[in-house]
This record gives sequence, C-alpha cells and structure tokens, in this order.
Amino acid sequence: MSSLKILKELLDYYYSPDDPGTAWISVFTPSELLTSMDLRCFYPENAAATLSGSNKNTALLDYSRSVGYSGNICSYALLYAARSKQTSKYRRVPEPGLLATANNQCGTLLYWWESFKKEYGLPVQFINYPKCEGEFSPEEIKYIDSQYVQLIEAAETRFGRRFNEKRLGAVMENSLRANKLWKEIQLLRKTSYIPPRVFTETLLPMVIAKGEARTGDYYEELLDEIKAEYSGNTLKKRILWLGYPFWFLKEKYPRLKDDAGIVMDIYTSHWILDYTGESMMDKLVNAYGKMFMNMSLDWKIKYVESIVSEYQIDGVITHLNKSCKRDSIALFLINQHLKEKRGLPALVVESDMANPDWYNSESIQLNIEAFLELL
Amino acid sequence: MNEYLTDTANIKNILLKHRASYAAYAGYFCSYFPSELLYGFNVHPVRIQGYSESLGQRRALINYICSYLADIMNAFESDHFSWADHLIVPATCDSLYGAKEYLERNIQGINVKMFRPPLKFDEGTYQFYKSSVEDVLEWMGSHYTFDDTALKRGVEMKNRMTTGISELLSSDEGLFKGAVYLKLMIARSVLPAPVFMCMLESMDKAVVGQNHNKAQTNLLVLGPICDNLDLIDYLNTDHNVITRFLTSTLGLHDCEVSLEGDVKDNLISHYFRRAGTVTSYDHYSKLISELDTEIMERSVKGVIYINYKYCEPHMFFSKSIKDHLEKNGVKMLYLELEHSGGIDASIQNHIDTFTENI
Repeated sequence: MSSLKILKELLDYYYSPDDPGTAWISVFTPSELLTSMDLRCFYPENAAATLSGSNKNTALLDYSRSVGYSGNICSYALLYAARSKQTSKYRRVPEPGLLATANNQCGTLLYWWESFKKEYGLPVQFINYPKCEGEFSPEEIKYIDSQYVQLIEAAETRFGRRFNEKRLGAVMENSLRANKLWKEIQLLRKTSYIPPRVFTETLLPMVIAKGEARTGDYYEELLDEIKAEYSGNTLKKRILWLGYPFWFLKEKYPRLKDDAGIVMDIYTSHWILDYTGESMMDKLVNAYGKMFMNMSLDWKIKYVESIVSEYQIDGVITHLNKSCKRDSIALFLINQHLKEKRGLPALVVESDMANPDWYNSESIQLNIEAFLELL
Repeated sequence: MNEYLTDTANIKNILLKHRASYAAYAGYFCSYFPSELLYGFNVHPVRIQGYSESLGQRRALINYICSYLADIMNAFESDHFSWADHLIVPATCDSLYGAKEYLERNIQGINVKMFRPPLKFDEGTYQFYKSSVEDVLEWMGSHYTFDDTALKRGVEMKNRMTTGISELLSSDEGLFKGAVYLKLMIARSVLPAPVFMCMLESMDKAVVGQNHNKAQTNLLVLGPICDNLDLIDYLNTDHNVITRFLTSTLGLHDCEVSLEGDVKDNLISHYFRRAGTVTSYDHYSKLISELDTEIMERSVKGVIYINYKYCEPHMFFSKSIKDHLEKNGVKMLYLELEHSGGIDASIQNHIDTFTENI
C-alpha cells in the first residue's frame, strides 16, 4: 500500500463527522493519554496552519481584526478565530468535550485556550512544565506527573470512561514506532538532499495521529519511498533552516538558487521526541517536557551545533517569527552564536508563520540571494 | 513633588550613591518572587522598571518582542542598569524568558538567575513554588550569607514604607489608582528604605491629596504594566481619569507581611497567595469581576485599554474585554503603544476624541 493511501485513511478518520468524544489540545500535549481513552484529539494550531495555506487567509485575518481581535496576537489564533467564515470540507470539527494545553512549546497557548473556554464553557486543563535546563529534578517530575493524572481524571469525568494502563501501553508503542520512523526519515537528510516541502507535507500524521497504529505503517512506507526517490541527491550549498516554515507559501519556504537547498530544518524535527524513562509516565514527562522549545538556550545551542556538524551545514537561515515569542529571542541568540563563535554564515529573516501580511517577498528573496552569493 | 519625581526617574544615581549600605543590588522583574527575602543577604531588591525615554536603536535587534522588554534590554546595553549586581527573572512569559537568555549572554558583570514559579494556583502547586523560591535563595547563598535578623529588619522597613504611603494618601483611598499612587508604588519597589522614608516625610500631604483627588469617576484606564509616566500624567492631569491595572502587582493592599513566627515562610506563603501574582492564573475571570465592581461603584462609562506592543498575554484580552464592556453599555478604546517615547500627538488625539464622546 502506498503511503498516500494510508494518509488518506488517516485523514478520513481524523475528519470523520462522528464524535467519539473530542479533546481540543495543543500539539505538544501528551495526546497518548487521551488517545488511550479512545478520544479524538483535535489540534487548532494545525487547523490554523491549513487556513493560512488557503486563498482566503488575508480575508480571514481581516475578519478577526474587524471584530476586535488585536492584529498582533499569534496569527494561528487570529486565523482560527475566523474559522466560521471559511468553507472547506475540513471545517466540520466536533465541538470540544475537553480543552487541554501546555506551556512547553509556547506561553501564549494558555491565553488562546482561555478564549475557547469562554466560547464553549469548559475549563482548560493546563499542564505547566517548568523550563528544562537539561534534566528535570525529582520534584519537577512529580509536579508534571501530577498534572498528567489531573488530565486523565478530567477526561474520565467528562466522558465517563476509565483510564486503562494496558491500553496506554499499546498507544505508546504506536507513538514510539512513529517517532523512531520519523527520526529515520529525518536522518536520510544527512546523505541525500530531500526538498524541505517533503517534510512539511508528511508531518501531519505525527501531529494529529502519532498514537495510531496506521501512523507507523504510513511512515514505514514513506521511508522506502523517500529512499527510492531521493537517494544520492546532492547539493553544493547546504542550508539549515531555523524556525517555522511559511504556511501560506506553496512550497512553505522561500525559493533558493539551484545549487543551494535547505537540507535540514529544526521545525519538523521538533516531532522527534525523547521517550526515555522507566515508567510510561516518565517517558511522557521526558517526551513533552524536554521538547526543543522547553529547553534552555545552552541545550538548544548544543543541539543545533550537532546538526550543523552532522548535516555538514554551510549556512544558516533563521526565521524570526512574529507570532512566536518563544522562538524569536532564542533563535536570534543561536543565530548570533553560530555566526560569531563558529564563524558560520547566518542570515536572519523576520516574518510570520501564518500571516502573509508580514511577509515581504521581495526583500526576503533579495536578502537570501545576497546571502547565498557569500557562501 | 516635582523634585521627588525627578529623583525617582534618576534611580541609577540614587542607587549608586547608596551602594555602600548593601552587600549588593538585585534587580527583579514582576512580583512573583518574594523579593524581601533578599534583605536576609543584605541585598537590596530593586524592581526593574521600564525605561520610557526612547533609546534609539532597539528595534534593530528583533522587531516583534514585547516592547517593554526590548526597552529594558536596550537600557542594559546603554548602561542604565549599571547599579545591578544580580538579576532575578521569572519565567512567566516567553519574552521574559528570552530576555533572561539575552541579558545573560550580552551583558557583562551581572549574575542572572531564572525563577521558575508555577503558572497555576492550587494547594498542589505550593510545594513547587516553595522549591522554586529556595532554588533562588540557594543561588544567592552561594554569594552571600543569610541572616534572619537582617531579613526581619528589611521586612519591617518595607512594611513601614507601605504604611507611610497609606497614611499619605489616606484622604481618599478609593482613588488610589491615580498617578501619585503609581509613582509612590514604583518608588517603594526601587528605593532604599531610608531614601524612600525621607522623601515621603518631605512630601506635603495636602498637596498630594489635592492632586490625587481630581480624578473623575466615569472613565477608567486599564493597562498591564503602565510605567509610561508621560502617558499616566496626560491621562490624569489633562483628562482626570482613574488609572488601574490588569494585574494588580502594584496594589498597596495586602503588601504587609507578618513578622510573627518564621518570616521566611510567611513571605513565601504570602507571595504565593497574593492577588496579582500566581493566583491570577485565571486572569480573565478575575479581571472581569474587578471591572464589573468598578463599573458599578463608579458609574464608569468608558474604558481606555492600553497595552504595550507585542505583550501577547494582555493583547489576547482585548477582544473579550471589549465584548464584555459593550454588553454592559460601556465603550472601550484599545491602544497598542510602543513602550518608549512617551505619547505622540496621534495618540493624544485618539484619547481626546474618545473622552469627548463619553
């Protein structure tokens, strides 16, 4: 079976009109806990990225501003606030029976979810992760763990279901398999040039269905297909992309010259999670508490340096994303570090992941071209 | 009064002049950390205020970070915070966390520590809050020796500063949200106690009262961190409106800490429960309930909601607050301003037009 066919099955399931019990969660909330209770997880960030890619994006943004939203809030939230105005088949999302989010990837999500709370009259299950400086202390692990238990209890109460550890074990196995395969696919980029759009186009199952068995099947097929198609592809100028892609661009990244290409990006590799630990809860604490965005700057610098060396990077382009305050300063400092301490050519581009109003195509393209000339 | 205000604006010189009285100065952001604990190390805690004077090049760095922190980052680079030996930065918003990392790498000679309070309030999170405070104390303990008597003395002085403000403004407690109040609270959070007490004693109670009582009661200004004194002055002097804050971190109420029993524990427990800090996890409900009380008690007809650019947590509230106010027949003007540079003619026009139509 081709990967595309499995992807279609996954999407049909995800967007089916039935409502087995739906939780609206942010993309780095431990979805395994909810999937194991046979709940469907819906991700407003993912839906907003899709809206950004639609030809109605600016109209939707205008609408949200016209009804009183600040034009400077996260563009995912701004776009999603206008969801009732778009007409694609994907708009029929079941209303949430549970709302859950966390601060491991972004501090703004809590405020966005507070707006859902007002809209749907549901409490927000908020998982508060301490910033991770390398390893969590026993007290921090206990703190995160207790919040996972609260999330489970809230789901049990809301949907009248019992949490089953054995079922969680099966879902975790699926997640670990998908995670391992996604990592293997990313590692192919060390030796072969694979256009970055391949990763933005195939990331979706990792985001919305990593606990499903079919997700592993999908990535297994995909791994073989990518190997067959791109093996041996090479490039003269190897670029590392730091930060978000641009969801409103067809190719999701600016155009580079023929001899240059983005051989690695940090964004799609966020979904390689660290499921280490003895118990299942420990694994989930590490996977979601130690994801890139929640780590200290020192950790991030070391991580990016390892990518620079393993992927033989010639230059770095950093996207400072107006919508992502968490990313902006950290990526600016990483860019500064690579340039000043490592002597690596590094360019900063300021724009936004989902709002094309903030994307100055001409100026960005000119800067990139000049930068590539220097390599 | 003017002399006093000039002095508080020139905090750097005052602090440098009194450096010998303390082992060190520690700057801190927001009221999440029980700053009085630092007195136990003979370290004077100084709340980091924004720098409302324009500092020029700051936007060359990163355009879209919180303009309050962008100003502070630039002010550090421009040597305005050269008095600081240590900095305690709470990881309570993404921009603050980023600012900590930026300052740590780009400013020489200051020890920076991140304070990681829980972002939600329930009994289960208290132990975590306490351990986060102790983490900062351990860090400070690696530089200085802790002394219970010094802590008690420091807290006692701080309590006296609070009482002093209350007495000075006791003529009309209901209008404490005005500029005079704000300026006194800022001074309380930055000046060494003897300097503050000396200033307080030299102020003329009658003049302060007169100045303070002019505010009208039917306009309300909301803002998260309004330390733009030009703006506050414009609103209070030219329009006589009441100014209050979304997060009441500058609230005078509930500032006194008990000296009975273990003062250190009292402080930690007090800050954890204090309004405007971690207890404000459910920001919106708390704010709406405060707003409703204010609207009812003062017959408020219009609200000017001022936010600093790119302060995302507070930008999110604008729509909900507008909807809520409109439902209650109260008009709202929403302004997003750069932190520095005071207020220009177009902002004044906006404010003038709005107030004239109320």
